[in-house]
Amino acid sequence: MDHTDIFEIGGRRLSSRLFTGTGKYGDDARIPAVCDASGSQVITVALRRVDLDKAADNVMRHIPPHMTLLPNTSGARTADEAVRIARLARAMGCGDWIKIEVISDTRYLLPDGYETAKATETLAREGFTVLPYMNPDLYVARSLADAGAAAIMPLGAPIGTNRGLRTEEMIRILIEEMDLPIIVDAGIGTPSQACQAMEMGAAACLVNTAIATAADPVLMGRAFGRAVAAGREAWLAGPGAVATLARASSPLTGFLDGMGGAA
Amino acid sequence: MSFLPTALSLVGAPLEERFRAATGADVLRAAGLERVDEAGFLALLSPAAAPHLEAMARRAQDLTLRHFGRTVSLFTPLYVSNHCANHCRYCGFAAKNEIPRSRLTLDEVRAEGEAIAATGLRQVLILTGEAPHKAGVGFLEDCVRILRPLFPSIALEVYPMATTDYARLVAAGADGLTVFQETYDPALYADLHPAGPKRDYAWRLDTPMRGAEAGMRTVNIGALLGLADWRREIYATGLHAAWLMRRYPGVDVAVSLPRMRPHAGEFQPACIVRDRELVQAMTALRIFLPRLSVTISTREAPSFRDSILPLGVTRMSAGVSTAVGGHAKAAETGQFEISDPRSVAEVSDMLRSRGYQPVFKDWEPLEETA
Amino acid sequence: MLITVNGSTREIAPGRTLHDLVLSMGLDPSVVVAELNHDIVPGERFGSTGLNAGDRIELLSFVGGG
Repeated sequence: MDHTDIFEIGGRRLSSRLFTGTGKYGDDARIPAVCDASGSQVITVALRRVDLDKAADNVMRHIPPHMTLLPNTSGARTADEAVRIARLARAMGCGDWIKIEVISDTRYLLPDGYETAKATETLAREGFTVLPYMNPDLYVARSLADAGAAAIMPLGAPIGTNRGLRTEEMIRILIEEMDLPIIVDAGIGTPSQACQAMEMGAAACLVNTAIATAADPVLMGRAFGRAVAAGREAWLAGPGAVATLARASSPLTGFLDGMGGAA
Repeated sequence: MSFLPTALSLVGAPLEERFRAATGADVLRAAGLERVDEAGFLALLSPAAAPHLEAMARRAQDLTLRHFGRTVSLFTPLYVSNHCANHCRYCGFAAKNEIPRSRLTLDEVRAEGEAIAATGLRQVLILTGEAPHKAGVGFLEDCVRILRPLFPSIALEVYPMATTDYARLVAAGADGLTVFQETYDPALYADLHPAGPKRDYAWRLDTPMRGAEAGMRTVNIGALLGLADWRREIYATGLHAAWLMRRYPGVDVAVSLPRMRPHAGEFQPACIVRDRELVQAMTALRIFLPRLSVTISTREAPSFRDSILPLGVTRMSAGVSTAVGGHAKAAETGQFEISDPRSVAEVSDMLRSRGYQPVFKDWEPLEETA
Repeated sequence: MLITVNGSTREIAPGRTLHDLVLSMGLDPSVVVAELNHDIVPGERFGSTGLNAGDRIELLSFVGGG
């Protein structure tokens, strides 16, 4: 990848536009190799009460030190809960990035745009780099931008479904209308779908489940890293001509030929 | 917030070189895209597009049908005053031109409105020169109130005002603002406007923005074609429209393509925009901004207006007089000579015969709730 | 004295700090963040934060998530 194409966000300069996650791994020990193979420089984590009954392996042991940590607020059902989790995450001393995720509907796990915007406003004011996860709705995106978000993270399909860019048209509109970077989050199941999102002009993709649950997460991580880079290059290259427009039987501009000097 | 930085950035930009560098392949690529960026728009305006005008026309027709259907909104101008303190070198109403000056009384405004409404039109465009002591905000407010029962949609093409003044006119019942930058080139602008309040390029440039801020539903911009290189002017106009659309997503942004005609002053156009070039400008705008409203006035001849109808036109004037009080009684000297003298009924018949619906009333605001 | 840790009641000796508590539970203080009676206590203040009877403590750490 040409390293003149740098993605700047929250004071970081990233050469990879693939964000990865740490959820759903059969074995967290695979995470460092996935980071390495995919080239990803940003990785998500969640915050939970310590399980006091069994001494669990801590995921932090497996995250390479060069990674930018993107804690999420999963588990939050309201803006207040998201703010509380974000503040706790920052107290961990791993930076001030936060992916806001406010979900109270456990059936479809769709994010609550209104509560997300409220949390975004509070946290942006407190100096967080706020990346809100959202349903791709233009009005919600605008309120998130007004609230101080650093990027917008629309879902491609409901969390964990790996169903691809079901919301493609809505994400296109966000890419077209918003000045903020659009990072497609959730739903991307295959590298070709990530590539498609990048070709559309997405600034980055966040892929967790599809990598973590692959039979070979390291190989899949590499495939996603390449797909995201390829899609980005295609976007930068600009598309080719799509249609050759056949000659109409009665030309629309025929009237110009008969107008002599004036034409 | 202002469009000024963008407008000024075009001054030193090597646009001529970029127009020359564009290739036919660039043109066809842009014409095939769902979303065209500024570079694509530039290619569509370049000389390289000339052999591809038919392809651009077909694309423009497709996009216009998709976003506007087979409808064209009709309106007519209503000149309420031709007093003017400006010295625009190209304008028949310029202060130094010795023409009869008048301002309608409110009774005359009502009579004009009734004459227009009798033709079936329900959209009217109030025009004045720039002479706030003769036709100030208070007078225009009165005009809007008088016309409001006759016209669901009232636009103003008057002189640049502050946001608060536009808000007063919106409250009185106005919903549209037309203001042309004339030329986006600041040096030429200064030359063409040697005296009078219109000299202030920046104030005029952000007038559409102030109208949008004040709650106008429609904002119509444009460059007066003939003053300067049309490619540059249309490029700037397109960027201005895109800028407004992005910042005011609730506002219907429209562009007019006024070509200069002979008029009462001695000034003649610096360059003639040919029919073929006007078609290129209009189709390029349509492809760049598929949802842009495009207004074609009666400056254009009937056969040409009819022919370009499918290529992107969404609004037309009809039954036009450019003279003060010209609807209710015989016309005096107009601001410019019109080329399409057809009545509203004639233009409507033409539209229907070509499969288009003439739209007299697009919408009407509900009464304000207390 | 009695305190509440992550919702369950525990008996600890008086005079203990948050740092002592975290270690006694077999946790690495560098990967834990605490809330003491709803106020956030970052790791570097664990050693200087004394515990009192009736305190409500939440101990949290990062886990896998997307």
